[in-house]
This record gives sequence, structure tokens and C-alpha cells, in this order.
Amino acid sequence: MFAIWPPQLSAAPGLKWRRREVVGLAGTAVDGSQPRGTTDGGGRWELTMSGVWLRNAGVVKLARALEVMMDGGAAPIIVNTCERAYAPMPPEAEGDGRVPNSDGTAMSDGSLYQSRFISAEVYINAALRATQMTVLIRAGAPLTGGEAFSIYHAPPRGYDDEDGKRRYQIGRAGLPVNVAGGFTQLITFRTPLRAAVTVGTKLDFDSVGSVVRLLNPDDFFEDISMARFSNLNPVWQEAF
Amino acid sequence: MLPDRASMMARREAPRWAVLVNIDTTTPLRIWTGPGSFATTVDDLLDPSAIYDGIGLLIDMPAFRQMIGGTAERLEFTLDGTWPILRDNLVDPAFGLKGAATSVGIAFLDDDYQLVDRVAWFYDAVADLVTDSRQDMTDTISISITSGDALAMRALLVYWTDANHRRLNPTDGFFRRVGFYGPQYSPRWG
Repeated sequence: MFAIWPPQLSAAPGLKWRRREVVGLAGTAVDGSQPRGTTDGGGRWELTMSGVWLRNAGVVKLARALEVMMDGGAAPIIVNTCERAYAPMPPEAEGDGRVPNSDGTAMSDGSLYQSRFISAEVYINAALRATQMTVLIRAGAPLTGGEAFSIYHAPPRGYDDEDGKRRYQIGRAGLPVNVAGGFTQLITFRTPLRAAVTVGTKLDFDSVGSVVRLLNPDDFFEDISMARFSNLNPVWQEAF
Repeated sequence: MLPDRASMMARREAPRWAVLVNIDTTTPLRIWTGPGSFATTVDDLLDPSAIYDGIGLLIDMPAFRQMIGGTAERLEFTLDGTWPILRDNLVDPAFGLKGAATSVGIAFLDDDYQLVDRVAWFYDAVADLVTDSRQDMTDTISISITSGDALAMRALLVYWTDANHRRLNPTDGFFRRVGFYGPQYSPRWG
């Protein structure tokens, strides 16, 4: 089971996911243009976090524990980032995902069952390396592009489900089509699917992240002063 | 040589392509230039629906030439030396790297990174030499391939001793009497 980067260390002042692509330049051509080509078929994710504050001995201990468990970047780790501002939350009027018992009653203290805000799944099978798929949204707002989601692919043998987590980001979203149980949308996303997905595979918009590996093990942990103050500046790359 | 649609893609200003390498060892070594897995189409000419690994393994690709009237050339692929399949297998004779048929193909991708046509396999060679090198903190493995008669063959059977033979075939005593044969020794027959 891979370690999961804890929320206490995820509130980074600076956070950037970017798709690292190899774009080869062939130099400047006779007409002054710069032809380019890519050979990596869609690239891979890289996450830069800067200035994760450590301000007491407890979080320093946590960071130190994770530092040894990451084994200098050899061990993969799951890093989730907060995508709540961009997630397709259903509008308030449609309810906030809370439901009563089947006879319409609430619990004795008036509270209701609470489910996740967004429920989305794959509607039509998609192949390995597909960049388009049709998704069924059971609860949530229509996608507009720019949202990120995760899919839990089959993990490496002997690992947990969470260990096959991959991040995707939507580029284009088609018009919603109403179907039984919600509405469907055709989305175009990057990176290409890391594995084929079948109907019903969950799209996780609530906890978005990927299996990554630390790229800068030597200098991501700044000096600790007075035994409690330090900063982390980790850079991660999607791991396979 | 290229399928029609692929050759159309190749003429664009910003082509997207991927290079695939298939080394036909016992368990084929299949790698490509991007991250993650890559599957060929069902009508692929080399091996339909084969999965190519692209775990960032390929570090350096050689420049290929089409030789007209030439005989042989030697090219080298450089790979990330931490890939366990490589580490375990490259030195194992049963893996069959030496002399394995090697094919190099090019796959053109459209604006959504989907294959526009089947992979064009344009280069065939024979795998020959493996070099494992380590510099500073970087571990790399190079596989040399050759297109013709430029093999760096070493004698396949160098040591005809029992100890040497048993390292590969522990139960085979074929060479057990070799130690008795020598210039100073007259075997007793019968």
C-alpha cells in the first residue's frame, strides 16, 4: 500500500499541476517558423508544491516520517490536491446530497443520510489511451471543461485499489444529454487513459490525485530551525 | 512505405508520433517513447494488440538510416537501468536477447493522441550486445542492435569444463571427465 500525502501537508500556498510533454523543436526553418513535434503521446503529470508550512513539532514529525517512507523518491506515494473550487457541484436548489429514510422521516435528531456530492461514472467503455469518453453524471452539475477527476485503475498486483489512482483533466465537454439516472456528456481529456475502463467505473471528482514519485528528494525539505519551523517544496511526477 | 493517412500526418508542421521498439526475446521486450502503456491495433503487421511499456524507460534513441547498397550498421538504444525486467533478464541466456529480431516502428497520432493508422514498421535488425553502465547516480543499460554482418560475436562455448557447464546445467555431467584429458594424460581405454 502506498503512502498518502496527508491533508495537513496539502494546504500548500503554491500548487501547480502541469502536463509535462516532450515537445521537440527541429530548429528554425528557412521561413522563420519553428516546427515542432511530440513523441510522448500525451505526456505525464507533474505537480509542484511550494511553501508547505511546517510550524510545530507535530507536523515536522509527520513530514520527517513521510520523507523516510518515500525512500528518496523510489517509493510511489498518492498525492491528492483540493479541487473543490472547480468540481461540478450540484446547485444548492437540487439539494446537498442528503436523503431521508424511505418513508421520508429523518433520524431522531433531525439529521439525514449524507452521500457524496458528485456521482459520476463511465457510460460507454473506453480503450487504453482513449482521450474521449462518455460519462454519466448521476449527481452533479454539467461539466464545462477545466475540471479534474481521478479514476482508480487496477492497481499493481498486491496493492490496494487506491494504488491505481490516476489524474485526468477535462479539456472539452459536450452538451448534456438526459438519460435514465442522470445525464451523459462526451468529454475530451488529457492525459490519455492509463488503462481501459468499463461501464460503471467511478469518476472521482471529490478526491483528485495520482500516484506520483518525488523528483527532488535532496532539497524538498528546507532546514529545520528551532526544532519546529521549516518549509517543504516538493515536486512530483506521475509514477508507473 | 508509410500508410496513407500516416504519411499525410508526417507532412504536417507539428506532427505527433511515437516510436516503438520490439525486441523478440522469449518474453518480448516492448517499449515506446511515451509514458504508460501503448497498445497496437488489431491489424498490426508485427503483433496485433500487443502492449508496449513506456515507463519512461527509453532514454536515448539512435538515428536511423536507410542504407542504399550498404551492408551493416550498429545502433544503440539506451534504457533506464532500473527496469526490473531488464535487470533480471538481460544476462540470462534463456531470455534470448542475443540474436533476437528487433523491429522499430513509427506510430502517428492525431490531435487527440489516437493512432491515425497502423504502426509503420520500418527498420529490422538483430539485437547483439548489452552494456550496463553506471555514472554518478545514473544507471543505464544499452542494447546494441545491428542491421547486418556486424555482430560482436563471442565464442559461444568458451570453457569446456565440468564446473563451468554445471553452472548453467546443474544436473548434466557431460563434461565431467574433461579434467582427465590433457597433454600429459593418456586415457585408459576399455
